[in-house]
Amino acid sequence: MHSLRVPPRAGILAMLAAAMVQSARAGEPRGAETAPGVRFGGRVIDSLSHEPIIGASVSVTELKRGAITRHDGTFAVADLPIGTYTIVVRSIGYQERKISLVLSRDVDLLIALAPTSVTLGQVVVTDKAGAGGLTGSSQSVAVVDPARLEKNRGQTLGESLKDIAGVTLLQTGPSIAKPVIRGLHSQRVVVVNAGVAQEGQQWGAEHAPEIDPFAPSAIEVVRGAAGVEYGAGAIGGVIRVESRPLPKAPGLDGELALNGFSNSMQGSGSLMLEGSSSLLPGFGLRLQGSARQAGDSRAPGYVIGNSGFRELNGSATLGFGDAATSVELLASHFGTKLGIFRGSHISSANDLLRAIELGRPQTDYQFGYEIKAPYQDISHNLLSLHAAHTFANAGRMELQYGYQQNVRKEFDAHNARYLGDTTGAQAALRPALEMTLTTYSLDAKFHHDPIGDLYGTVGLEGIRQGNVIGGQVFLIPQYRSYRGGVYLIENLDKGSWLFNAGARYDAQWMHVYELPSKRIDDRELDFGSLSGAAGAIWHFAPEWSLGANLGTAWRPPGVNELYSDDVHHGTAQYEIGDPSLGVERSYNVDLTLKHQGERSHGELSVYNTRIDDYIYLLPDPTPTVTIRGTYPTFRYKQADALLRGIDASFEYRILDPLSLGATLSLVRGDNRTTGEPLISMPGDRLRLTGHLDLPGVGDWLAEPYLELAGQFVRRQDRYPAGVDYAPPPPGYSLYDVGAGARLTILDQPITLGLSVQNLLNTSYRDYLSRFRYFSDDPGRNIILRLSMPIGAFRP
Amino acid sequence: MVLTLINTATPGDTVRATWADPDGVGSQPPSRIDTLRLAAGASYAGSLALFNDLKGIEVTPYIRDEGNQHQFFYTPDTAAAGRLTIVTTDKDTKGLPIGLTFTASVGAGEALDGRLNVVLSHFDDAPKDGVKRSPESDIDVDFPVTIR
Repeated sequence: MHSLRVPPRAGILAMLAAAMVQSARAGEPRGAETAPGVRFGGRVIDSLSHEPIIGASVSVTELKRGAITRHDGTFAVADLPIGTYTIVVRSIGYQERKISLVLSRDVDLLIALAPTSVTLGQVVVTDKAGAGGLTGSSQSVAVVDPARLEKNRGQTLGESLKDIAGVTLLQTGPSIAKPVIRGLHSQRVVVVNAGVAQEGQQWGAEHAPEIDPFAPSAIEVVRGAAGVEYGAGAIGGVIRVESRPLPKAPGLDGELALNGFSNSMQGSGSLMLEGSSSLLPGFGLRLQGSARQAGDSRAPGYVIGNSGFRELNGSATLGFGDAATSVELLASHFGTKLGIFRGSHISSANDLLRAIELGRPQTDYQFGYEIKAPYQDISHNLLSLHAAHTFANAGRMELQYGYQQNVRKEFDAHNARYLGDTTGAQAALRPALEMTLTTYSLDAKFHHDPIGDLYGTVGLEGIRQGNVIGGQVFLIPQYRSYRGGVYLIENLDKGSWLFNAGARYDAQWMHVYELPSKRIDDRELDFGSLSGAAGAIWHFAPEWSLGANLGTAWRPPGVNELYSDDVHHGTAQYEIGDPSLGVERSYNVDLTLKHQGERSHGELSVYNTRIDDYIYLLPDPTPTVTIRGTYPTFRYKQADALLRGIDASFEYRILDPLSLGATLSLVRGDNRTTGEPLISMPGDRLRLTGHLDLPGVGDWLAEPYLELAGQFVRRQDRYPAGVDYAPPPPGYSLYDVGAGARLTILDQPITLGLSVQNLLNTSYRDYLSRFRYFSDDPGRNIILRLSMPIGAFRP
Repeated sequence: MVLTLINTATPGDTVRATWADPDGVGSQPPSRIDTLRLAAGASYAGSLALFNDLKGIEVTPYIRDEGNQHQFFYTPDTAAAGRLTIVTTDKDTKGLPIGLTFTASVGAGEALDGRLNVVLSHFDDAPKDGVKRSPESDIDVDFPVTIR
């Protein structure tokens, strides 16, 4: 539609100084029979990289109207009365712009926002996706606000997400946390890291996403099925983890972050260096590394033995960008060794019953950093190449190649299955379970330029994956799979109404290799089906919008669901797969009311998801007898499920320095075939927060604040009878406090934060904690955080 | 697992009971669980042998070598408890029982059917005191028992 000529690099300063009126359309005055007002539109870009800023808000202050920029940075506000306006443009990670504008005819603006980079003394992390790449979606999308992300940096990915309405955690001790979106998790949730769908081992609840907790600069959560954009599998939701854009201005910057946690005596740190040189204009480089080491966590009254971990991560990103083209190469490594609480490593049903009866670990563990068996040793390597090019008068093309290798080794306490080959001590050094999952992926997307009011994306995706197994414990067979998908998403912008619709077809072919000892035959499996979604957003009043979304998505059965045949540690369940399982299909209705005002913002979502042929574990009345004891047996079956719920969040700035907030998550899951509730649905939870900004002191202490939060979780009273060893634990309340400020010492800005989680050292067990049979959740945790820009150098 | 019990009065009277699951944990159920047929009023000298059928090796020596980390517990069910007493006779290097050898005393009286539970406790963190089981069991099997 409008071809934009981006000024040469010499013009950057001029562009920074003011928004540029790129081209004022000398449009003929519109007749009264057409639109009565004028149209104000344009494009928002990063002042340094010239990349479009997605999800920036452009508001016309006087009218309390506005728009959110789309995938290509464009926006439009139609039907404005002629007049003089103040336009405010905001995006997370960028400095806010105010522009005074006389509107007497249709106008297109090119607005450049300067990133709030670390060298400017702000530790607000910059964020490519702005307020979220899907803000224009009619679906329920939440963005972890960067301030919160900053406060949770260095903890698990799950920790950063748990304050979002609708998101809870499935926890296996202090070090393993899996996000649960609206009651669904694991293979039903897609995690997208640096643009590539994370392909880790997601076969068990104790398999957490392999993400460096220091790397993300923005996290976005799509609640509900997002099968059209993210493919088969995204039946529960999507978590997108973004890194900040590479620097393009010449210079060298860095950031150092250090954290300390009292509960597990964890120390962690991250160092990042990034820069760009005038010798190679357009090129940027970033090196980042982080390390974490934690000892045993402590519940009130005792040590959770062998729950420490050691993690070492690193990444390097090299990129090039000019006005039309960008190329980015990322290589990252994630490596962790994490202990599994000894008291939970139970392989006999009788032992489990005795542990539940005792109510606490039988052994008095001493605190230590040593990680003994049982433990997991996991590494995830990612190589990602992203290229994008904008074609004048056509659109923007994106290509993404990903290579991932995930190696998971699990070590048993004493590997009896190797006895006979070696001594017990040597057997323990061999993994009981070893899996190497290798995935190659290629995505191509084309965002076409608006055709009238219609804009959209067409995409093509291909994935090849192979899994090689080792060790003596059987979890899944070896396999190779190929997946492909093609999709189209279109949006229609009609002023206060925005419509979207999309469709996708995915096919999967899988070759499972024979494993005679587990009676698995050499077999080929085919799955293929359609996903679709349609929705609308209605800006029915200034600051208010209502979104509705209808969608259908599907998921092929996972290899574990098809072929499991062994005891599951920790839960003392014998799980048996069913090779004849078919696909799951969901039908989802979602309504979201959104408010974004000057002093208050909030969101209320109501959803109803029907999943036909939902795959779950059905208890089998015949127990399995093994030499290690007799186990209750569960078989993977399919039934029709219904998940309904409410996610709500609201924050109100009651006084200038004081904000109060609330977040509510309710979910109801039912098995419609058996008429019973679904197992392991998170309990109802409410979080209340208060944030008080305090006055700064001199020029050395800026933006001090105090925070108080309370989390109230109700006991889950909806669960299937006679399936679980122990009923859901009682509800609980937890309180957190925090304080922080920005200090300037000898011209060195330092951001400090001190917080206390579980302030009252409450003993509690969450229903979704897999250790709830054996141990309380961790007690009080005092956390100290420090981050500072280092070595800023500008030639 | 093979239990061998030799009648101390008439050494020719040997009772042998096998619990076998040759394909290991999972897949097919145990192929053989013998009933331990004991004579009322008799005393036996017993021993236990363990085999890894998947590899075709006897693993009893490994248990004996790691005796300080292992102990067998023999627990008759309520039906058999009053009539069957099992006392381990072997010791680890600290003088605590292992349970690879034992004596079984069967009280005189009526015929009865019961069960004998055999657990191999593994001691890593929990200290072995010769009396308490550990929270971790390597083996946990039941033999049907008849006393005639």
